[in-house]
Amino acid sequence: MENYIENTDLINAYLNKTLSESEKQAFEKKLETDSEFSQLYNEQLVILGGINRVDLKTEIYAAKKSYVRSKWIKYTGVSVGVILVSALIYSFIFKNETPQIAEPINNDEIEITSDSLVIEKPSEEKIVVEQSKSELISNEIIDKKDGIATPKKTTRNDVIIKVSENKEEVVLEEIIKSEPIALELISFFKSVKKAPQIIEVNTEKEFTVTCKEGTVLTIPAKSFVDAKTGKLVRGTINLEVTEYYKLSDILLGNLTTKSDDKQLETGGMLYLDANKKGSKLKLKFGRRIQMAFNNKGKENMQLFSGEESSEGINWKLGNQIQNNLASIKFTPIIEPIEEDVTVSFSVIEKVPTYPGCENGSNGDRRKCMSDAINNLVKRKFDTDIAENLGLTGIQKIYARFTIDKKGNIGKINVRTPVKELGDEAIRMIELIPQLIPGKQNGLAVKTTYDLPITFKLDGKTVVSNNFVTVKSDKKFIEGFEKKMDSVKTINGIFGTISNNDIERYALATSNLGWINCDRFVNLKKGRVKFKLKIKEPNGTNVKMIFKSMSSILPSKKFGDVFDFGLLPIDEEVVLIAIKKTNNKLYLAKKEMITKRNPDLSLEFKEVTITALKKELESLNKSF
Amino acid sequence: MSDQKILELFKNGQRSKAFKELYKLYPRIEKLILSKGGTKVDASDVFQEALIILNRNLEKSNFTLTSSFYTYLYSVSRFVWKDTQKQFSKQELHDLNTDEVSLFHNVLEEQKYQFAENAFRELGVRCQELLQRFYLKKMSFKDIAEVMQFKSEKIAKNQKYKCLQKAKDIYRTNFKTVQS
Repeated sequence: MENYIENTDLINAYLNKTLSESEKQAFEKKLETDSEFSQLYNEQLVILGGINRVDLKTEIYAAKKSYVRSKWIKYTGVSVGVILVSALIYSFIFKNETPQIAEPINNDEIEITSDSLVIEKPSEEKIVVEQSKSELISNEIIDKKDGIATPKKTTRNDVIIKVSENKEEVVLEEIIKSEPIALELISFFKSVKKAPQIIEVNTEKEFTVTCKEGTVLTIPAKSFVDAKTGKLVRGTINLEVTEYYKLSDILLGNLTTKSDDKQLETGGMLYLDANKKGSKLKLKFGRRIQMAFNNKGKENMQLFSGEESSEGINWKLGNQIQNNLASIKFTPIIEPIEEDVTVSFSVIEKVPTYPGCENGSNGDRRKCMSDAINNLVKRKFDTDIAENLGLTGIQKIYARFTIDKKGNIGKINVRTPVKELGDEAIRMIELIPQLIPGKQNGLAVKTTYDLPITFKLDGKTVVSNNFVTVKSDKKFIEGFEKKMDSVKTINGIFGTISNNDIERYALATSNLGWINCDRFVNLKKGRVKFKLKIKEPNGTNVKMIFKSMSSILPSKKFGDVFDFGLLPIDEEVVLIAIKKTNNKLYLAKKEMITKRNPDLSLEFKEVTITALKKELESLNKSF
Repeated sequence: MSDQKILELFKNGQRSKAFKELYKLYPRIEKLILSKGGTKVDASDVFQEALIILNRNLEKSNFTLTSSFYTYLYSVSRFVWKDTQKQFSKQELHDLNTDEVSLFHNVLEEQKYQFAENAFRELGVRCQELLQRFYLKKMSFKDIAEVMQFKSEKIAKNQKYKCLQKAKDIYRTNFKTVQS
């Protein structure tokens, strides 16, 4: 062994050329004469060669990789060049069309309004006109779109499509750069979070509850399943509802009203959660909670659902969310837009048919139905009401109602001297069973039916010109709700009824979580970019409250710059900045008008949580 | 890059750069191997082997490149591939010219090193590291003892002999089984 170590050392020294000349000669002589030593030497060389190969292989592998990489860089370099050139050419050719491209922004909104109008099934002619107008507009725009799309197709190739993808990536990166809300602020918002109202719900039967701030929820029986196991939950569960109608609640909840980059006006936000003995529940597939928001006088509201992120909350239109669920086939509830004509019962080609009147000619059926309704009036109309009111002589009530395309009773209008008689007429008309709808040109249409009701009471007839109008939509809403229930494939939020005569919005959701009843803000006004600089910006969150509408916008934080994006110009707003650093809470409040290049400085003052709440509550009135 | 410049890279010790340059020839070699019924993986292996053989020859003092890198690598690759497929007929070997004979000799010689490499790879991770540090990085035992946390320089040295001996043993048994 000693000998062996000595020899290998010697070989190493020889290979490393550290031997003196005389030692070297002695070594070479030994190789020639000593065969054992020579064998040892050769073996050593081979092993070294082997070890060397390991090193070489890693080196070659690295060379191969860098070669492949540079090849790719070259190819992508070339293709990026091609892309850029074609993008330039593309933008040059279609430069003139840019104003048209801008239009789809409007288009979205127009389409949405027309959608909600379709669901509405308006019976008043005024609305019908509006609807067809908006249809026209949207059709026109679609045409324009096509017009643009065709030349695109001819010049666009795969390479150009890549361009748009790349661009998107770049944009995304830019968005990501904005900073998330500071941790200290998040814990602050958590600490001031509104406590939910806990409602015990018996899941065995349908349950309706009016929450503290006026939201009405209707939950069908057996609607909840365990979020983990998916098993149906029976018995009593806890439904947690947090209502956000007040500005102060919304601000303390760190909520804003923005859908992607579009501004919304809110009609109330809700957070729904359900649990049974602490284990999380969700709604059974296809089940929906119906809700009526407490917001009078706001039209064209739609349901949005919220997605929370580190930057705050983003609202997505219910229908859009459904479309994103690619795995679930979405059957739109919106009926195809048809010619929505309303035909009077007296002139319609094929009259609506009352059950039992199926036989005979059109005239026969018309008479049969009139008789049937008259009979119903005779039997069911409670004339005692009139007597009890002290009315005398001949009483005339003029009722007009619509029969929709499915044969249901729609809107009812009653002109009557006394409201109570109108209510009774409505009650009675709602008793009319489902009919076979009337047809015009072979298509089911809406029919209006005029029903004068006359009855004679004892005593003198007092001729009165003071008529009151009593309206009802109850049947219509019920029909709508039934229709929503009949759609089975829905997972998400959907449906709106917006009607001047209904003071609440009946909407339905099949998801718990954040829900917002909103409409898009579409002010025909100039827009202005709005940015704000704040010294020592850490832990600060700035929001903007609009005085003219229930809208709150968030800002994105980039260092000391808070970016609100594009805002409608000349709006009265209040800036609210909440800042928390080193466990101290600050508030800055500033009223201003949105304009270009705002010159403003925010003055922060230290506040307690109670004082902050008070300050925010003082803003509630203007909201 | 011209052959001359690549040669200079080798001489200046910028072997990695040289390999990277030579990889530009790879697509043509790949075509050759594919045309002979090999796969892309085969082609990659063969080209790697050719580069190793080229490098070994360049390290020899008496070697001069008589043709272009491409011609050289092409011939070596052809031999390597044919040899792994055991496709040489006696007639073919007989007809080789002197240049080709020396190439073929290089290919066969390289097989010994392949066995040595395999033997080395059969060693434990620590043995491999130790030998690489000593032979490739030319580190002193003192440094090796420190980096690899041997208690002393002497233990590191002893360990190195044991590892080398083990590699030789594995090599001998493997080589004998193949030759017999």
